[in-house]
Amino acid sequence: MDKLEDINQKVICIPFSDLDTEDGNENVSQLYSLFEDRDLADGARLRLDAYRRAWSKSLQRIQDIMKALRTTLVSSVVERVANAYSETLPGLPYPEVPVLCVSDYASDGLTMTEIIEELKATPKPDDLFGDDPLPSNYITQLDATHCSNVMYSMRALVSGFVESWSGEEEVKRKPSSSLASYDMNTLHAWYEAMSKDRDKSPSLVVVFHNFEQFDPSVVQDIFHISSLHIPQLPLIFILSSSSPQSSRYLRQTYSRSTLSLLRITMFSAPHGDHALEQILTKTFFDLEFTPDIIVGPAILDYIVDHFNRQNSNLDAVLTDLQLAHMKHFEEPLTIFAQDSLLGTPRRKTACTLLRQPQSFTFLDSVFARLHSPSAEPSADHAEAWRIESVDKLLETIDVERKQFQERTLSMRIWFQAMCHVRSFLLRNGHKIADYANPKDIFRLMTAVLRGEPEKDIECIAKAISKLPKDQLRILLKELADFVADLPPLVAELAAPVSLNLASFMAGLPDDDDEGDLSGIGSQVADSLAQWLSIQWTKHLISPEESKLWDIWYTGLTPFPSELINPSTRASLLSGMLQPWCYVETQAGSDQAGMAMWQLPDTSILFRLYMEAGKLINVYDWFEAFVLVLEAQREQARRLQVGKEQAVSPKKGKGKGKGKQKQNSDAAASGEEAGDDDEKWKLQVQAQFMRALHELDYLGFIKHTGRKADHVLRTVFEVVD
Amino acid sequence: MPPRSPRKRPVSVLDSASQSSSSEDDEESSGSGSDAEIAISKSRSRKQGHDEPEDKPGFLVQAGFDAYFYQSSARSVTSNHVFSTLIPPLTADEYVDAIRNMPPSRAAPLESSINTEDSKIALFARFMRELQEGFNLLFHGFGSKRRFLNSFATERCAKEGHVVVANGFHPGFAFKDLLGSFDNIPELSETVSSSSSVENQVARIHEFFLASPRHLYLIVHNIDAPAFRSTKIRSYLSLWALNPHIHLVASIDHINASLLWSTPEMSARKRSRESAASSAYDHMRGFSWLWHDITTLLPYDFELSFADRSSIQGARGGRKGADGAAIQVSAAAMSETAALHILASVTQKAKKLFQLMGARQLESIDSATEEGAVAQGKDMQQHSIAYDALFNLARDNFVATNDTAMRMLLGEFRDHGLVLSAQSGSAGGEALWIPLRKERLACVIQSLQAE
Repeated sequence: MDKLEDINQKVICIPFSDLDTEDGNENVSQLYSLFEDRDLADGARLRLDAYRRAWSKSLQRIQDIMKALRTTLVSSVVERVANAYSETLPGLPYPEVPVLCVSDYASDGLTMTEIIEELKATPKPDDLFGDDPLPSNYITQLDATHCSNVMYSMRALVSGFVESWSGEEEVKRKPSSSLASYDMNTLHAWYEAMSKDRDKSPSLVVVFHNFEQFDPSVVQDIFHISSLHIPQLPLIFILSSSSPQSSRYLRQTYSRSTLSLLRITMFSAPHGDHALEQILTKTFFDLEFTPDIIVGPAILDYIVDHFNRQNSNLDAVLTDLQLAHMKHFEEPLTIFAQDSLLGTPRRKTACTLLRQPQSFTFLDSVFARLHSPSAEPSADHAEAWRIESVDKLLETIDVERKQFQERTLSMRIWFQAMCHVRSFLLRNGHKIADYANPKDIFRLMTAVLRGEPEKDIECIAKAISKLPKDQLRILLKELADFVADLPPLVAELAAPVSLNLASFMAGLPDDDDEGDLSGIGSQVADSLAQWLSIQWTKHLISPEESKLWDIWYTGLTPFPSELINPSTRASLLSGMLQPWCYVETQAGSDQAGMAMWQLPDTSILFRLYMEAGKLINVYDWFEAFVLVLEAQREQARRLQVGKEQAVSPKKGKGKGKGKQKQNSDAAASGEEAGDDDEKWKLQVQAQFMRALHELDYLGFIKHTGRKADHVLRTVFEVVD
Repeated sequence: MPPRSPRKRPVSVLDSASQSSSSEDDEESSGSGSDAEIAISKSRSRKQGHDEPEDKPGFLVQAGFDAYFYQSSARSVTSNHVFSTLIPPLTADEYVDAIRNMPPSRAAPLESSINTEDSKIALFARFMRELQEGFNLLFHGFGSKRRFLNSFATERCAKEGHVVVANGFHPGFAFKDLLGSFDNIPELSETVSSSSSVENQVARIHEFFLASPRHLYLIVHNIDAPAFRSTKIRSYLSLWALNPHIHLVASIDHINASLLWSTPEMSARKRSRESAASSAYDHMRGFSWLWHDITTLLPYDFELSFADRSSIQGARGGRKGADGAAIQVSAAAMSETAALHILASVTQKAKKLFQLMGARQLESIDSATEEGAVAQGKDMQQHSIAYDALFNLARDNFVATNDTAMRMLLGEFRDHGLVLSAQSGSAGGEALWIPLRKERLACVIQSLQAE
């Protein structure tokens, strides 16, 4: 497109035209395969569908969990809004402005969204049976970008309400005879008109989004103005704060005279390790939900580390899990994640598809995985393949899937049991782990997924064996309740466990045997510890023990962290210092590095920059650059001479005339060389200016007025 | 703070390659020693001007922070050379000619393997998938990503929906230009009026694409440019970025560009169409970035087209006021073309005067070069001619018989910057010179003589 190459064009629009589209599948542009040699012909599309199904399922689950976490908070806020002007402190000298401060830094506004939806959805009690229930709350939302001063803020506040209800007839107001749009009396008039003939007047809720971004002086004035008009105007302010300690922020930012006008109630959205634990446990270790894909310890470790150290936003957790799913479904075998129908309605059709010649490489890889899980297939692999039928292969995959799900369900059951025991022991002050933070459930999760829970089992078993009789009884009861509350589908598996627990309970001595003098209690404790250890060791195995585990489990695949946590500085510096690493070379060629004179101009200038001090004299920098380019020119000349000698190897003969001719040639070439020198110097200067401007453009230098024609370095790195 | 050893005082290392290598060795060496000892030894060395002993190699590994503190620990000693006075500035024509005439081995830059067709096919498919899954893409890495992004826009995005490409690096770019470009989308131009406020237009575009079956792909070159840095513009873009039917693909080049966005902004997720349509989500802002390293190693010639190549600050200063106009020409430089244009409009006597002055200046340059003066001859002011001497020369050649006529002839040249003057400190008279390089001046004189 010519317009794209026109320097004077600032914006180019390319409207969509039906002529440009390809007929058929809309997803064609998104389809790619990293393993084309062992992928089905249509494998990319099938895997995309499988990924979408798997991710939608997990996403819905996680969103339900997050919503459940916020439910309590949302209902508390809605209740507080409803009672803001009915539950006031008696005897106050003046009415206080109700302010609700919601700290929501973990979910980035989702809590506020639900609160607003809930407030808007609340019907008026006496209009429940009416045709058109009127809202009991009118809401206006303010944003810091539109509230730069008091007038704009008041206009946004007043108009936000006035425009939300205009009555049965639209009233045309004349600017000359109407109140200003920022005048509170406008709001009074509107409110009176809106609330007449109503039994209960609605509340006026003002929501400040990203409260910390507002100018404090503007907010202060809004509070002062509002305090003059309550309770005639039942204004309620909700501050959406992104800082974890909103109360401290308010106290530090606003004066006592302002704070004394307000009645502040603090709310905090679910955040931190508790929220993350709920999400991960209820998604991947829950008994009522079976995810299509289980994330491995490497990805779990990254998610926890990223959450704790860099971004404690729950949206980031969702993004991490989605990227993990996207990466997992790049493996061709993940076509079988949900079923083995290969996008066809029946298995017979799938078998026919697999018998096509273009599917043979895929079929071969599946067979190799099933029958030779090791990296090198067995000697009879080629022959064994001929005996198998495709139908049998798909049946085997279905069996493997079922077995994998059973194994992981069993793992989840015993993991939950372990969590119950852990929490019991922690409540009663027992030591349950050797590592620094025994409450770290995430470490337990990754240990279980790695198949290395031995240390945790040992510590917990030791703690159980030391339990006194009364605590042991409580623990047994809790375990029995846990088993009894298992979902119906799982309850059958838990029947033998119930029997064992009942027998342990029966073996405990009576309560009137104080102090366990008989020692039976400690025996029961030991037996319980031993039995639990055996069960945990048996069931808490890594999912990698299954065949074809890589279809349903990510294993130790690392998380693609560069997608969300890139090293932009490192990539920029490596591109400038080691550009040869990015150039495709032919096989066998040496890619050890390049001499300074071989590098591009910007790289040469940057290398000199890295060797310089904090303040760089541009002229000296230029001179150093010229030296390098002279070396480059010399190398080019040598190459040229070498080529010429290779072409015409005859030596120059004769003296006298030949010598005269050489002298005149030398003189002529000297003049030409002089002109060439001038041109070369111009070129060098142009190259220097271009490279210098590029470094300036990239932000590596800062111009300073301290010394003439000096620049400051902005980047200080050590060059290897 | 790890223990550091006394180091040599930092010196400008750009005088020669050997100095630069020795300073590199100094930076790499490390050793033991308390901070107090270092401070004392450094202060002594500053006072006494002594060099400190060689450092013994140690086990500490230097990081960039160490390099910064090391460089900041003492005053940088640099020479007093001034680039702009020692080197005549390049004119636009000279720059273009020089770059065009570069030897082929230097003109063809190294190209990253990411620019190959095979690589692009796989990457573009992956990018489209990530866009469809609710992410926006941000490309970083060394090298101009303009061509890469434009290929992606035309080869893939244009086949899926409407595409708008914004050249953020253009010095005259304004957000209103971006809004105005939507007039080219027929269905949108009917709903969005260009006369309404920016906020209303942004909101209408957002609502339109929420309901539209055809998505919008917004390609922004250099989203780290000054035009996109204001809070309001970022707020508008972040509203669009979270629209499930608007896909934002942008590039950054500045080394600190990643500081533009907070972590909540970067990690905010797009909502479903139903959720996004609800007013409860109006406050949601964010970009949902996925980062990709697109190191192309290509030069930034297009992005820096408006730079003033005659000034070391040209990458910034040249952008101001350049709104589709030609590149600014420094007052201290003159191109050959401009000189010929000026001379074409003056009288014969003025041309003759110029020839005389130019010839004298060329003689002076040649004699300076023959005497072996290097670098000093680059500043034309050094080859200036005194006003009196020029007047005598003009009178001898019947160009100007009196001072008034002389000044009239010179006035034309001075007005157009073809002749510069300065008070000569020693003699007290006026010194005149032509701000043209030797070869350019010779070409101009030759052209005049040919006439």
